Amino acid sequence: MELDNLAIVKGFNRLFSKFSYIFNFGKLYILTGSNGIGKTTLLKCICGFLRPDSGFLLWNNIKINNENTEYAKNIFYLGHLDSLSPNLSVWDNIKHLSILLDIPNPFNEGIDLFQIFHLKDLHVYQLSVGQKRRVALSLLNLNKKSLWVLDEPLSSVDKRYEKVFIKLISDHINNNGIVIMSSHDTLHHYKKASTQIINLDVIK
Amino acid sequence: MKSKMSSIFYRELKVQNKSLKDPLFVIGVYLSLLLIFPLSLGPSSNLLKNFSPAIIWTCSLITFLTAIEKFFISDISEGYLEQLFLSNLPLSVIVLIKALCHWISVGFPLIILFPLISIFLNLPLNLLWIICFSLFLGTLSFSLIGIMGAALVLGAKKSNVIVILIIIPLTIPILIFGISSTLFCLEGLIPYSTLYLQCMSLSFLLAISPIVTSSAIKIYLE
Repeated sequence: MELDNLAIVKGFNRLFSKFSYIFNFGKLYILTGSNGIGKTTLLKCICGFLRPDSGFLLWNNIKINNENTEYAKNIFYLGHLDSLSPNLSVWDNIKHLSILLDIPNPFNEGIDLFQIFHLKDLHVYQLSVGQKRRVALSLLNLNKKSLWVLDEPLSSVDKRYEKVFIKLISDHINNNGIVIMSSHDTLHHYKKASTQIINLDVIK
Repeated sequence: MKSKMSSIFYRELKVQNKSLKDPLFVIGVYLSLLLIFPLSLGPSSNLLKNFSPAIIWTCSLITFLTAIEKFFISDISEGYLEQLFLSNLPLSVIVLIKALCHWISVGFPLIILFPLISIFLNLPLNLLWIICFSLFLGTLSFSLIGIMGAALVLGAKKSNVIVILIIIPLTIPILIFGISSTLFCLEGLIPYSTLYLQCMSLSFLLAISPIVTSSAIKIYLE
């Protein structure tokens, strides 16, 4: 996957001008940079929610336009909101999202990596922020979409689930997937050969 | 594809009707609006009978306006719209499902309630089902207009004021057709012509509204 000469203008801010980058299969990319530098905007642009003002995205050397549904099939996006409806139970939310996005339902597969099974019948508004995040992260389990775009995935999650998360990510990378995530973290957990850190402060 | 659509449908119904109090709230708003008229016009049944078509339709319009926030408010704050965007379903199909769910949770209770109201307003009961049918056409059109308006003001501050300003002019033709078909019914005629006009405006909206709404959602996501 390739970003070619991307320029994004948001309001009066020129966030990116002539930003180019190549993402390879089987690698983890971590976006870092100070607040407001455009991490989330770049991730949204990669997902196709946001059209770049100039430049284009390439996926397997094919140009992506807004109507490209084939490309959207490959993406799993988890923003800093959890996409869970507070008035539905955890089970209903997860079941719906797994049907909607064509991914396996973690409740059916029987592997409770993030220890959420006991929350199954609670309504989402009854959960804490960290619990909600864990419910959303559980969708990564057995997820076969090749491009994972995660925006601050580990915010407000307990330290002990970080290992689980890292294992999921390294499995995904070994299966030739791409993970692009933004993070504020110290990153010492992720340091590996297949990891690339993109510091937007430096690039711009 | 079908399983996705039905899944969205059930989710939407559940979200829009969190508990029994949501449909009851709709019914309560409608009834209290209707109550104002007999109280303010006085008990003389002749006046009420002349005004009743206008009363029925304006009250249902106002009830719909109060329920417009049901469309997207929660989806934005949860980040759910992005997932819909990635679901590979055409946005216009999703919009139609959402509008249908909105009609079921707002319009359907009104129509169920209508026989009761017609006793309230001293209406003749023989052509009741035709009035119900024309209300069905009209309220479904309100839902389709409402979803357009709600999508156009996504992300705007004070959106509930702006949305009313956008929606009311669009509902005028539907109000006119609806009121006139109800008038005919009260005179004991079957109002084929105005029912056709209502069907026409509904089918026009069925074609236009998904397109407008989905492009408005795309603009919002940018």
